Amino acid sequence: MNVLIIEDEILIQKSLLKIIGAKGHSCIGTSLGKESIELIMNNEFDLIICDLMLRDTTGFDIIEATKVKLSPAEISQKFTIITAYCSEQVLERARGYGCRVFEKPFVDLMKTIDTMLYPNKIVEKKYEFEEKSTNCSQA
Amino acid sequence: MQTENENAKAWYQKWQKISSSKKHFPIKILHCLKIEGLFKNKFLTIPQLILGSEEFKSFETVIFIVHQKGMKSCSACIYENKTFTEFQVSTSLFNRVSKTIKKSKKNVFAQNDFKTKKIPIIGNTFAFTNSLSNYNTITFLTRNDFLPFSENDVESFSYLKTVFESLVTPIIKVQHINFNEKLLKEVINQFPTSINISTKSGDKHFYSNKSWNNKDAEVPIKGIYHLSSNKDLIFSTATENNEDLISDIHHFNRISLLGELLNTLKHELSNPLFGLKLYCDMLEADTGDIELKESLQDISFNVQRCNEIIEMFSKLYTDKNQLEVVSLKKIINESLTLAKSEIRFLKKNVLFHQSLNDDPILINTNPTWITQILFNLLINSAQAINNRTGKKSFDILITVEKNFDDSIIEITVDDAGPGIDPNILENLFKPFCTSKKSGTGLGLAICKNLSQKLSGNLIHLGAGTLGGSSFVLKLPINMEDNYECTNN
Repeated sequence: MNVLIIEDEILIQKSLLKIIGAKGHSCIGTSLGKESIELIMNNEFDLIICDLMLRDTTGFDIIEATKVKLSPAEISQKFTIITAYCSEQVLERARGYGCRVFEKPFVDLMKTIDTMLYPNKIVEKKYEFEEKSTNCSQA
Repeated sequence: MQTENENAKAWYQKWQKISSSKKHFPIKILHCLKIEGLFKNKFLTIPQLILGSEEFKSFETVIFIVHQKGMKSCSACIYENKTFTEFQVSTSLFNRVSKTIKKSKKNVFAQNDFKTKKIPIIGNTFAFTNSLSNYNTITFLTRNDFLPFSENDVESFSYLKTVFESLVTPIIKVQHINFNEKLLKEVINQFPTSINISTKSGDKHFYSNKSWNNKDAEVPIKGIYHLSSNKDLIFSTATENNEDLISDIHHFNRISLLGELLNTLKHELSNPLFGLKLYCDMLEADTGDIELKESLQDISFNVQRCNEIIEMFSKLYTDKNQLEVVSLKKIINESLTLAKSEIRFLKKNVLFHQSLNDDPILINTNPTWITQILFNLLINSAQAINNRTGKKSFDILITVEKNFDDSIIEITVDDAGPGIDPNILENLFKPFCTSKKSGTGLGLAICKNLSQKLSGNLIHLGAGTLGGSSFVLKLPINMEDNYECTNN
């Protein structure tokens, strides 16, 4: 999997690169909005983990700028937002793009990263659980 | 803000209108002299009073002119055939006519004696002037014919002249009070905030303006009769009942400002701290060096502590009133951590009653508010103890006890400071009462307010076990039980 990590807090970026890299994915990190837009334009990423408050721009601006290349469906599938400012307005806007939002600091780091990398797996698990519970009620 | 300004403007305009209507006061005397006190249930005016009497039955017209001192024109009325007609007379004319009457030794005048057509006198007339505190009056009494008056008439008129002042003065006084009462009511009703009115002699009267938003509501004004006849009134806006409001407003302002600042601080700090912790944990997992591992663990632990302290502070300044079951011991520890900058060099101790030693003391309450109260008390104590004397075993002592039926918990904060200045003791919990040079005087007022919101109470006990000040915070163990923590 090709992963881009946009995060200006350098220690968070390094940690994510290290953990995701250790899981066998190829990943690139950047702390600048301008650079990240260029990277998205010139490469094909499967997952873009994007911080909202960057020094030169915001994560939403990056999404807007990449609209020329990516379709709305691709944006909602690829972009995953991480932020320390998890206000209602932020969630509202993220919902508009269909992106998932994770609030920093992560309570369970490994679990959060797994959810970022394999969102569908969680849905499957949830489905299994629901099936189980219906079985239980029938019994 | 907009509507408040408009309200104030409207009030001011109305007030101007009322003040200017003062000019018409004399007219009102003529019209609405209620002489209830003098003639049971009868409403009479001065002309009615005169013409209604046995002596002046045969007279047809009374003209009554009143000049209020300081006014440019005079109000006058003519009463005949049971109807009133109002008119105005200039002060110069009033003075001229009044002079003519005073100069003359007789009481009887002819139509032409006054050389004016503005006062509609027909035929011969009785006339006399009178001076009543703020008013000068002229009264004309006529049959509208040129026949001379009889001796009986003259006698009656002389009598009227002598009793007139004693007859009219109480009427004017009552009327004056009625008028002032109306004026005062109007002012209080229209004033944008609550007003406290007191007399110079020290009697206190409080009038709250409740009708500002509801114009139809009658303002409950007790004793205004007494007030309106009293010239020495003191109007002020800050009242006893307002103090809660003021401390609430300041509390709210303080909380919202600090809340915003702390929110920013929390976000700005938690992100880099999160990075530190992440990388630290990762390095720790990677390294085999035991010494490095331990150092990294220390860093990680301290980062976690920073996060917790930031979290505590931002919690302290949120104004949520949410009840939760928490350990009082934890709350006390948190308060001590928060106040650490002030109390770090002081010897402090927390003593729990024997029965509570192994008890986490779970209480259902608003922990934020308790922390805020304890934090405030600790800071106050620490600031009072400028120099450590070293004589006492502790500088600050917190003791925790339960009352006999386990419904109320008492947290006492004692200090070894100089105690409360006796001069401010009486107003200790009132807003803006302070002994500190740069104090706002709101700390204890807010604490008292919060303790009452917690269905508890905050009481100053005087000199405590350490010789300084001693405060006890009484709290119900379950706030939902609604215990009354009184002064007992």
